[in-house]
Amino acid sequence: MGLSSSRLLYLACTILLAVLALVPDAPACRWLDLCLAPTRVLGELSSPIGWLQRGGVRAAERTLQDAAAAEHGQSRELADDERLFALPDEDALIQGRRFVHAQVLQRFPDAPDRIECALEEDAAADLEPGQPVVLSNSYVGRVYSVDRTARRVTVHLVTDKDFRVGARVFPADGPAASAASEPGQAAASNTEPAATLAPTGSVAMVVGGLAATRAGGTPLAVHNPDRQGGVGELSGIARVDEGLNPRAPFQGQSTGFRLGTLSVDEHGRASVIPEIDFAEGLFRVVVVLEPKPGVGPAHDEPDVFAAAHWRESRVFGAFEPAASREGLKIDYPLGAGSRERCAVVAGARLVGFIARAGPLHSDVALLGDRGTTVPAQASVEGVVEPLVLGRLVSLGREAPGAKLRFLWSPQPSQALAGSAKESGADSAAAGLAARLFTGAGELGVPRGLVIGETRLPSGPGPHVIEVEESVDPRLLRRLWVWRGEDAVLRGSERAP
Amino acid sequence: MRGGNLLGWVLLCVWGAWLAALSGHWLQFSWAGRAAPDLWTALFLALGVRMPPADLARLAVALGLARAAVSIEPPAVSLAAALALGGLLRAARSAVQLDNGVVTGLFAFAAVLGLGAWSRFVHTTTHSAALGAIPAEFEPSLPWGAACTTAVVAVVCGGLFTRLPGVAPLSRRKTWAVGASYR
Repeated sequence: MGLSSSRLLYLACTILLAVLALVPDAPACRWLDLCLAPTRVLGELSSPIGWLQRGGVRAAERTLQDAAAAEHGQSRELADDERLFALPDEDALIQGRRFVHAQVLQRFPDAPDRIECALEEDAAADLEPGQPVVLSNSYVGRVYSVDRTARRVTVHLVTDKDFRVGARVFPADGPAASAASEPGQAAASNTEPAATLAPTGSVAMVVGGLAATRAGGTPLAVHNPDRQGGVGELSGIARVDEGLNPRAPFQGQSTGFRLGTLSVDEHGRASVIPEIDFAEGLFRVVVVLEPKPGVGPAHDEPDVFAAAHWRESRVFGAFEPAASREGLKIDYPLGAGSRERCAVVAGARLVGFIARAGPLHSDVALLGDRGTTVPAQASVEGVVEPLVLGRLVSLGREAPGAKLRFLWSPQPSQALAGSAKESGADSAAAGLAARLFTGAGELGVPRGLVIGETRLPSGPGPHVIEVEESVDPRLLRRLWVWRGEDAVLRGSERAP
Repeated sequence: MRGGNLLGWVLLCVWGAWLAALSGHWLQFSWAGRAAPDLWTALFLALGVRMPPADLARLAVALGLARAAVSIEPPAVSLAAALALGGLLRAARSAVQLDNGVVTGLFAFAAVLGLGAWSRFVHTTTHSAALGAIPAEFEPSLPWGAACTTAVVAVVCGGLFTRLPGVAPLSRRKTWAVGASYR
């Protein structure tokens, strides 16, 4: 028996819609959104169901209001700590250098080893391509381009396959081990760094790009070590030594910064394990400049919580019928500036992200929506230095209204293990009390938004952490969506 | 389509959105939690087993739009689910007498599990970059509790759904239509 034309059409429509459901970025989905825009009326008509929670709504808004000022303050304190710990702490790396702070804005989709950063100081005029970029004592890469008008800088990361930087490894237990802290002094004096960087037993090499290894994290590839038969059993800290290339600019500024720890696998392949998580944990960098007499730090970071950066919106639907999802509908359409992956907050608290920006409204995926990811850092109780957590992945909640659960996969190089050990076995077993904040690195997500309170376990992970929110975001009727600086959000997503 | 019928279909969309939102509200806020019944599916089945088969496509589209209006899932997910449910209902009606309470309950049970599995499959596929890292033990289970309660609601309240203001004329069956549904 053949199918009638109407049944065939019905079947074709069903299959087409099923395929479109699996390809949400297809242009046809945009057209479907446009055709179905009037269904917002149905959403608005069902909004009175929210009146059943009126008492809860009032209590949630009061709690949020009471906590807002304190949470704004905590976020600003965190920013100060971030800036402090972004600077190197080895004397040899500080002397004779000037540092310009920059916040990571985005990683270009077409060039993942380049990051765009917003300068926090008015020093764009002094910046040039090739200047070294660091984070604390670690080398990150070089300035690739500078946009002086927008005060933005693009950084070429050391993880790029085309990036090369001279390095020298100092044996950990050799007589030259103590010299490991010396090279920066030579660099600081801006003399011939290479001459002072070649103590007995050290090995010169070139580092750049990612190593072809199955090791976790972002191990850097080692090229052309100047020792017969490779680096062998050598272990120690690899530091930048641009003196190996006489034509390399800004040698005085870059030499001495740490690239990581040299590691040799069972096949004899060497790689450098960096101390920072290049993949998910790079929220802030510092450009190293020559000192300029009379020029001091001139901090000028825009206030994340300034009203101009946010757009107020009304929630008209918080009744997600699918058990595995958690979200809201807000009256902030695409035409008004709504963009996917923009942060949505209540007070200083992150509640979720725009999941779909439609012609008449936007859908918000809350943090409890399984699969939502957020770049995060933590302010750990009793520890001043902010702890970079990298990207957390939401596992949803065990039951509606229960605590948020996130999957946290710390990189070996991340500082938590050290912090936990220092705090003793008991507290490590119970986890360290911490307040989670957003990190930088995504265009639509400003740093310093409060995620919630948790206890961070120690150990290599991955860990499941439970995060407590002071307010249930599903109860809120007014939210704010990050607009940032419109020019930035609408800016190019292509690498320069 | 006559004017009266058109109003009926519009009102069906409104009722569909209301019932989907009410289910969502119970799911998110009530003590029932994940065992809250899916009233949208119960309404779909209550009307679907009584309507003339020729109207099942309209029913699927109307209720698909209603669910899309309250859910954050992309509209294609809700519409595809509704059309598939409508198609299955039509196929089932040609083989089984769905008026029977037990059969309706079983169909509702299967429909809720199917919708849950479809939603999970789409979400996992479209968020594979993030969800790929999640260990299997954190996979959400199928909505067994909701499937059971929905089956009960479909059996007990099915007749009530067909008497909702504005919707009743749509589900009124004619003798020839009953006969045609068994063709």
